[in-house]
Amino acid sequence: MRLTAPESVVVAGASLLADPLRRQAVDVEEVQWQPPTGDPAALATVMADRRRAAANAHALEAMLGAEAQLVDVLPASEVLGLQPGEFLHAGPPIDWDRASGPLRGALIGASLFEGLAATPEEAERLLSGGDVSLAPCHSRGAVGPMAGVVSPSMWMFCLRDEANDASSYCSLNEGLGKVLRYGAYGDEVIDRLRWMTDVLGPLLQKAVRKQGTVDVKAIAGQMVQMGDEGHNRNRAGTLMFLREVLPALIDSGAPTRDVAEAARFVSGNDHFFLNLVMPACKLVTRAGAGIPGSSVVTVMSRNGTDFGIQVSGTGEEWFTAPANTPEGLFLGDYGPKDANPDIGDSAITETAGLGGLSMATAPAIVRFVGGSVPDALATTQRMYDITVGENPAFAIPVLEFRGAPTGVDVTAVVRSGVLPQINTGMAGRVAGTGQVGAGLVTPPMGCFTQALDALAAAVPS
Amino acid sequence: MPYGRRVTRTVPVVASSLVAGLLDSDASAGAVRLVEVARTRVTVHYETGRSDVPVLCVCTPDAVRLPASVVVAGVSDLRGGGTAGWRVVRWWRPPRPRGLTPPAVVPRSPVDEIRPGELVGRGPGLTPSGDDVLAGALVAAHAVAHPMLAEWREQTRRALATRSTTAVSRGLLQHALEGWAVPPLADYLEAVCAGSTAGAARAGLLAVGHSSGAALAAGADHALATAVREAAA
Amino acid sequence: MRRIGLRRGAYVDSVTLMQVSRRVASLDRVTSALVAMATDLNVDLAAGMGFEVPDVSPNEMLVAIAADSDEALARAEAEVEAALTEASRPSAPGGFGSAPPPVTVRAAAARSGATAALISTPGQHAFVDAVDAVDAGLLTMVFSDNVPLEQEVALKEYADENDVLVMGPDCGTAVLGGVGLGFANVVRPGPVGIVAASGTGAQHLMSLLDGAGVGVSHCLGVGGRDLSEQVAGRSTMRALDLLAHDEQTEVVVVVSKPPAPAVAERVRARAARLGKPVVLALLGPGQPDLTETARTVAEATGSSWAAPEGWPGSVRHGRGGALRGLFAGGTLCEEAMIVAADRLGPVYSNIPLDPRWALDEDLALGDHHAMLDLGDDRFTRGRPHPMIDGSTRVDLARRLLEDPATSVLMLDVVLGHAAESDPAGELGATVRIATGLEIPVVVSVVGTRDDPQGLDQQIRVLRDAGAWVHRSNAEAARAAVALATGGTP
Repeated sequence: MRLTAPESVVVAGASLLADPLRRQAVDVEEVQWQPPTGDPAALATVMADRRRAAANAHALEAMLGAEAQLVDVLPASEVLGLQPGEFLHAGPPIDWDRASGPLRGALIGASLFEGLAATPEEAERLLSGGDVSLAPCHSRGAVGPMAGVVSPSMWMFCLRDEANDASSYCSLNEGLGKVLRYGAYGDEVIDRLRWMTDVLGPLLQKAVRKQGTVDVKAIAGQMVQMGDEGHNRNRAGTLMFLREVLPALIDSGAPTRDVAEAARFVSGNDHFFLNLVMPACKLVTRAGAGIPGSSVVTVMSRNGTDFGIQVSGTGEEWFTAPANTPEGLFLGDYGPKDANPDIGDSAITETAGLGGLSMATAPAIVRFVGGSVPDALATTQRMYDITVGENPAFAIPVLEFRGAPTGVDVTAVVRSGVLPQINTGMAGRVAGTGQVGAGLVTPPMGCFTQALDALAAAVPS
Repeated sequence: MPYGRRVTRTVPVVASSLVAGLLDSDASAGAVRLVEVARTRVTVHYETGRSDVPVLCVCTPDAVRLPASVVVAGVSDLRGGGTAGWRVVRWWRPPRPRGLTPPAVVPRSPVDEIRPGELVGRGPGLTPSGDDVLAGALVAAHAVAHPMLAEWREQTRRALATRSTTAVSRGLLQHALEGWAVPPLADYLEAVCAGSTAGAARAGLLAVGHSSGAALAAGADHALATAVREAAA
Repeated sequence: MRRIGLRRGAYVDSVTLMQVSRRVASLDRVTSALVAMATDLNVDLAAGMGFEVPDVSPNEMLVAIAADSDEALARAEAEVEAALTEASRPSAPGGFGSAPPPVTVRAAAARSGATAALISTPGQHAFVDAVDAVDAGLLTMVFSDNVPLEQEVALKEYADENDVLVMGPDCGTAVLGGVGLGFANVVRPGPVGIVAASGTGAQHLMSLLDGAGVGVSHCLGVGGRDLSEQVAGRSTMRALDLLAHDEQTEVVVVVSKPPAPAVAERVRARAARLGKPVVLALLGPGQPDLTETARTVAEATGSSWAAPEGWPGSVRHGRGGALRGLFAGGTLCEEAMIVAADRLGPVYSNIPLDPRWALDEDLALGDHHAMLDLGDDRFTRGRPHPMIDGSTRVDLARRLLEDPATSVLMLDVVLGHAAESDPAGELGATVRIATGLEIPVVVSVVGTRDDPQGLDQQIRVLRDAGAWVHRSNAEAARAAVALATGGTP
């Protein structure tokens, strides 16, 4: 460090100290400061942790270096070892009693699909009786949108990060309207699931195996420059994926009718790629996980009742608090009373820097969620303040190709009061309603203050 | 066409310590008569009639800060003709690199000899390239205690007395004789003598003026390269 | 008077128009106002308010105003214009795409290319902000006080590992290459580097040096507790190292109260190895005062020294009695007390030299000599620091002048950045009152010739009001003491 006249000074606190600097023709960058939330002693302990700066740099580097290749499509029973009576779901651990409408509906539908019950009432008795096992998708390295329910017969995308020798999984996206992930369980839902299991899954497997791999991260990087943010808008991603696999699909040897049906199914579902970008983001965040002393968030996830986060420095410990309900615009004549609290593993996109954190790249989405274009820009710009770095693989054109803000820092959130911004669909609180709208939501601050306490406890004394 | 105009409003300025004498004598004797000799988008150069600071540069914050300069907030403040009404809000000391160790590796300089008698006034422009080469060499020589420093200084003084060059350049050379540098040159010397490749600092120096930066670099690189050789010889 | 007008070709949403109406209606002498699009509803409203509404279409805007006078009406119409113009400007603050302000020190540092940080967040939170600044490699000044001692130690250890200087906590004064941070004076670049555990001590030293034509390279504050045993002088050592390597600095001076003995020893040892002359100004009874220190430093740079100027006041003799002082600068108060106690005996204070001379809660002075540090916590809780706002001091001075025991009043006036714009002017009336009561007032003025308040002008105001004025605080104290013994300086 050398002593020179500063041309620019950061000022935090009294404005009266900033003015004399300006009068001396020195640039002042004033911090919009507010008192931190959470336990001040825990915050001081974590900030003083010698490992923190290097650990966060390490976590960021690992996240930036992660790969995400689609290598196979396989049933959950094979690739996750799921047994009959075992279900995975989105969000932190939860039991039937606390589960919300959409999750219950999805579990009922999955039970029917697996033949564990013949009627919804039977399914409900089975599920509430405690003879089934429920576990978070995250506990098996998987992610699921909305209710995120996975049962043994469902086919899963399998993604690989060879650089870190890691895998992640996600089911196939059913489309819009009355679908399992929104808690619908009628005949059309079950029929569609059957078709996806009997036809779509095997067909995609043939195509992917013939293709070799599909670089999902690369597609995500391109779609960000085409107005998709990976959470609420995946249209370009879906079409680029289809473009990748279509030749192999056609050349798969399957009946043309099936191929045509599959192609129609994928291209008609603007959210198909969501189920690929989510496991890709899971690989990104997983790479940065488990680094002692790191305050970077590696999982953000909701089960319709609770919001849960995991932080790199505290491994797979969940920090949960009641989930907020999204605010935004409603479809048809649905209103706020119809919305279920926040649900889904799709916040893994924000955890990796996409979704709401990259809102600036998706002007089209902001009107749908009730915002304005300048708001979208300002949101992403604010997210840089609470993240540890940027991901040049996801470059945002309107910000002059600046990389997406990556690696939410627990300490920055707690100090500034700025929570990561999530852009999400809204599920109807009554099972089977489907999507009622789309909007903005943030995690509850309680997750971050708890994480802070745990990080502090883990600092060597 | 020389002119002097009184400025009556208060202009806040950031002043180089080299112009303290000028501003102080101002305050006691009334406004000094400044004669404009050159103007760019971001600078105005005035002859002062003084021997310690023959040329004063008034510039905006983004301009390269010459050793004898005064920084004002904006271009509109560059229309004044005198120093009345100037209020110094902060003093600034131009860099004067000293005590540096010449690096083992120096970028090749197109200059292979410093002959002040031929360099002074050679070339076109606000600051002729010959003058810039010489200024770069003098500042670098000061920085590393070059064995040729005394001789170059003597030859430069003689050349300034006998050859013609622009007023602005004359002023800059006078300050370079004492080792006063423009910040990009000082940053470059510090970086390269600290052993780094100095990529960013060199780019900053080359960006000075149209070609001034390159000429300053050429003179400085020659001095750095020869400092050790000459000492060993 | 009533006037109803129409605007065409303008559409503004109803919420904004309601705000405009409210704004206009609240003006002086305006009885009612309605600014709204001319829908049937609003036309009825206007009629109900007593306006005669012409034939209108809903695409036109009604501007209906009732006021007490023509003048008020005209003002109201102008207000409508202004409000509508504002409403039509784009709403995004700073314009489209400009980033919202940074919410942490780290974020601010990342955006700006800053090389220094000035932290003045509340003491219980400042540590975290300072760590952020150190992480970003910024030279960090912590203005905040009441930072827990363990955090100061932890912060300075962290800074040491990151090769960063922390100035503070409780550091109110610094100068980096001519840039003043906090309460600092405009100094000319020169060969003296200052390391200071005291803010006003550093300011006085800088002012005395400037008065002697000696410039300052940098003034590095280290905070009031740095030289304690627990903090062990970490920032002082780092500051000494930085000044050792600073090309411009030729002489170093350390200004502080006497450090803990072990720390003093380490500082002396480091100073001896610095490679440049180091003057240790460890202030206290029996030690050289700041003026003597300034002389030593000036002569160490090879400059000549002349005694700082002083001017007599209009009340030439004291009548003998108590000396009372009110100070904005703690070190100035201490220096004055040391001078005074030496000749006069006990000097009571809220920062007494001897615990027996402590003033109690209600500041009962009796007949005692007394000097108060108004920058001390006791006076600044919930009130601004006296260097920013002198009104507390003016009130106390008036009370002292009403006290028959008071025979001499001593004050300090500290100029420079962040200090108020006319401290002498604010004291002028009080000095005049004292002069009228034949109570001499002695003022030590701390400031440089380039300070924004105008040193010469401030001195002149005080002299015109009748005060004795000295640029040396120690000399001012001696003058006040002489006056208090009934003599003349």
